[in-house]
Amino acid sequence: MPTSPHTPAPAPGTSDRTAPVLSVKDLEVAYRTGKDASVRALRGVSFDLYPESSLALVGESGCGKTTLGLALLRLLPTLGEITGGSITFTGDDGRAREVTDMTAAQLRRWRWSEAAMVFQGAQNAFNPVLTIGAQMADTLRDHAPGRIGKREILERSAEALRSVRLEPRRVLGSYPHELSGGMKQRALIATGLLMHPRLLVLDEPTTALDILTQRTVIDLLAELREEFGFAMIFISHDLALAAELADRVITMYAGTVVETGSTADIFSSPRHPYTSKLINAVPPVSGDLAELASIPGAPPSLATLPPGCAFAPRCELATDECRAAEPALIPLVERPADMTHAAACIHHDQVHHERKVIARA
Amino acid sequence: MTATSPPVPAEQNVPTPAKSAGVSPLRRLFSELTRSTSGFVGLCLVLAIVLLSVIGPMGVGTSVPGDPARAWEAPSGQHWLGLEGAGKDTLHLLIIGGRTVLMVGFLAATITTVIAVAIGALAGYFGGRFDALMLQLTDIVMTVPQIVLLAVVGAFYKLDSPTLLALIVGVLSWPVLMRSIRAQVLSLKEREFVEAAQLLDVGWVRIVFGEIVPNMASYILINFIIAVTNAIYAMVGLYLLGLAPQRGVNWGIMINDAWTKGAMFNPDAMPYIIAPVTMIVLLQLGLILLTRTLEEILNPRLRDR
Amino acid sequence: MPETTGTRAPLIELDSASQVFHVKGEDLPAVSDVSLSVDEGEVLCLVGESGSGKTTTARLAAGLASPSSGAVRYRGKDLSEMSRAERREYRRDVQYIHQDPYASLNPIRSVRSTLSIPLRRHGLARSAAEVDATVDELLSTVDLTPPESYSAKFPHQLSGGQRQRVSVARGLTLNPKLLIADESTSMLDVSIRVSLLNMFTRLRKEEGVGFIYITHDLALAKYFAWEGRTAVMYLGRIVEVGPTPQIIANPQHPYTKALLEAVPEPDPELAARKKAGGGLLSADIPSLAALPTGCTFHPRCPLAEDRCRGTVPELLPAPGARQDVACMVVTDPAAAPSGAGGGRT
Repeated sequence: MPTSPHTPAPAPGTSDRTAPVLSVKDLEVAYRTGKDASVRALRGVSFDLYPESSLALVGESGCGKTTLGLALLRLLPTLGEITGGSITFTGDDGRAREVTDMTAAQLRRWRWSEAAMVFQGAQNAFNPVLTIGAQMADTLRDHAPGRIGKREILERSAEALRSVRLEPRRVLGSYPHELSGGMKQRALIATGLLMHPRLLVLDEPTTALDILTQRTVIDLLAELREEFGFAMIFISHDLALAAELADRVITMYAGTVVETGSTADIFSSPRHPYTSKLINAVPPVSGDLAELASIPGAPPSLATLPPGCAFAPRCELATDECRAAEPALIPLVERPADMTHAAACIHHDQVHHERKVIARA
Repeated sequence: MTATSPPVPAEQNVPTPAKSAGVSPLRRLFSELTRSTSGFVGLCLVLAIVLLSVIGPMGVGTSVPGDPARAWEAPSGQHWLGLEGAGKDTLHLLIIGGRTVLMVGFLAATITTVIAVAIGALAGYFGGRFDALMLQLTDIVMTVPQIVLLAVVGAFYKLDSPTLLALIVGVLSWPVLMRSIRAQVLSLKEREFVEAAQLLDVGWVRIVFGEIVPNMASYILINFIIAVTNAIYAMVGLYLLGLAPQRGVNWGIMINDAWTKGAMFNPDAMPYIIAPVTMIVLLQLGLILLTRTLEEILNPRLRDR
Repeated sequence: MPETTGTRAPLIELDSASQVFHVKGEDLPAVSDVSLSVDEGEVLCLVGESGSGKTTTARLAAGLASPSSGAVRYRGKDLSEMSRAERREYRRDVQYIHQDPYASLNPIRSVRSTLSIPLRRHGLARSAAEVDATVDELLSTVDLTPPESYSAKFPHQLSGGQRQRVSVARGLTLNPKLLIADESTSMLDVSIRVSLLNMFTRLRKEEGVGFIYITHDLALAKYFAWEGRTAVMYLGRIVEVGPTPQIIANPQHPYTKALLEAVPEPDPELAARKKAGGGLLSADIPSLAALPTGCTFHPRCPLAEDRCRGTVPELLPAPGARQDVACMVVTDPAAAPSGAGGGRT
């Protein structure tokens, strides 16, 4: 019986710590919209993700965060393709591999065993005519290296389900419709963790769940991270989730990264006007009543992007300089493990983030 | 295996192709029709036959001279389909013979569709006793056989008008369509925009005929075309059986003629038999191709690709 | 008991209303014994998770369904006893905005068409010029500017937020005094929902329109109904109701406390302070078809006592607080028999 490849936390200073699990450089993704037309959905995204860390990709609908998640695992739909840049993955064995160069066979071995994804719309992700157990077995058979016997499948599936606090006896034989929303979400996470991947990407893991169930899933994810030690990327439009789960946040807008940094840095002093507005649009429950300002205008259509900064039309700090050229990410506060706080805004020093209090609690 | 394969990604602000951005639906329909081969063929067939039958007679004149001495003459340069039993030009007869068939077909289909939509929509929307009553009515009408009725009517009145024929066929064919319209309305009326209209107190007439029925437009159109094909079949059948008025010239009468005047056994009369049959078959084929393509095009899920 | 403003009958009142659905031979008590009232210019938020009955309650208030028992009254008059004229008046004053903006707009109608139908029908605008002007005005009110670029569009050409605004504009065509907005399953980004709420607040302050707002997001309820009241619902009953700031800062019912604990905070420091799980014994909501006896919350409640299993708690003023709560342990602690605490079921 194979042992769980749970990587114990490496001692500080060893080589494992210094190699990021994922290193994305200048990633470009385009969607074909016509015979010769295409739209740039991702325009030069770069970041490094270190082992056991948790990154939140945040932005409004259409900013490209889901596209980025899919691209990382080469799961883009047929109309999309990676047109530039690189995605380097470093597995447990320390070997760095180029994901964009992998063949279909290599991808199949790599996916789910070393990097897994939990898709959006978990409520409908399972095939309604197969039991959960059958679907987990399918995943194992498709992606496990070599042959895998029935007993091993059962053991691994049961272990995965137990780790998400589900009873294997009850869930393995159940059909998706027999499970509640929260249970389905947890079962989906379990499917992602079946082969103890080093990287787990989750797309909107708590949408459509009730508040209390959502809390269970959030707490569960935090526990699982501690237990299994995987690096986590989760995609959400909900900044509050980012504050709860991530140690690092990347804000995206119109296919580019507009701000990146540790959660503490981003929330205490966001340096991009968009991030500041996003934070101000999410109401806190505890504390005083703060004024909520929505962001005027709407995200631009990716086909007709204005030259220069894509956010300029909706930004009150925008000047001609902003509209002339697209701003690069400017590092502001150096931190290790790619947690450097950086913002793609030339007026970052004018971003004063504050919550106006309307009434005291 | 769906848990490990991504769903279709949500809108990414990828722009929809210009075609669907507010271009007139009619023009869009036309362009879609011309793109599909079978649709285009169907459209051409139907248009060709309709034009031939409507405009043709104006070109060649409605009176056909006949010279009985030249009966059943073979096709020649002057008479492409030869002559028939009374020495008349078969092609000429063919051209003027389409009008009545088309008129009866479309008129009967219109009557059928209008009645079916009106009764089906109202029954589906109001439900309750009215619905039960309408269903009873539908069942009764459904059990009346066209042929028997026509035979009976023919015994009392002189069935010399194709319009009367169209009326009878139309009035007897609506039950089946009524049920499917009713089924659609039953489901459509649960839609939220219907509830929204009710909230705004716009009145049942506007709701049924302004909100619900227009949403079935494509379905109604397709069923209308099917009703045309059915009506034409019914009509030809009636003519063949001699139950329809044998006045004037039309393809149905031509076929009946062929039967009764023994042209079936006369090898020289081939063109006279085959021509009308071919026309009817071509018309039906065109209509069916059109229907199939329209169904594909008008399916809302494919509408905005 | 919910307060009514003065001696005049409130705009909308639910009096011990219940709604039982009969589905496949089972009785689902979607709403049980709910009493509340809303007046012009007031705002009431109904908050709850799935199965709480908040949407059904809203539909009862909107007259889209009749209660199985109890009454729904408009200005003191029972809806089921209204004449056609009275019913029409009610309809003009009370409007409902559906959850799903795509489903609630007729796909074959342009925005102008959708908005002009009620205008013409009720004689609020007659000539084409009047209609156009009113449509433009409505679109501007809901921040769809410039109106000309939206009026000719069809629903499938609009984004989710824009469709929702058109839906609101339609709700405003008859100049209602009360809007019932159901956002509980909204898939829109928070930023869009916030801007819609800001628009609602403007309507409330400038036009005196009252609101019943249904949501599962306590943070939005806090923001929108700060000057009004919030009612927390669970499995068809109101478990706590009162002024919003009080509910948020000083929750009395264990369910409300759990909800508040569970909401994620957009602030890492506040987030770190939150306790995991909210102290509840189970995260799963019981099915309406198999409701627990007595207080339906008792199987999950950390404060549950023996008596909670047998008696349905009444909504009573909480001692030392300004809201009403349906919990015997809170309203009547002295009467606790031996063996209090724990959640033995």
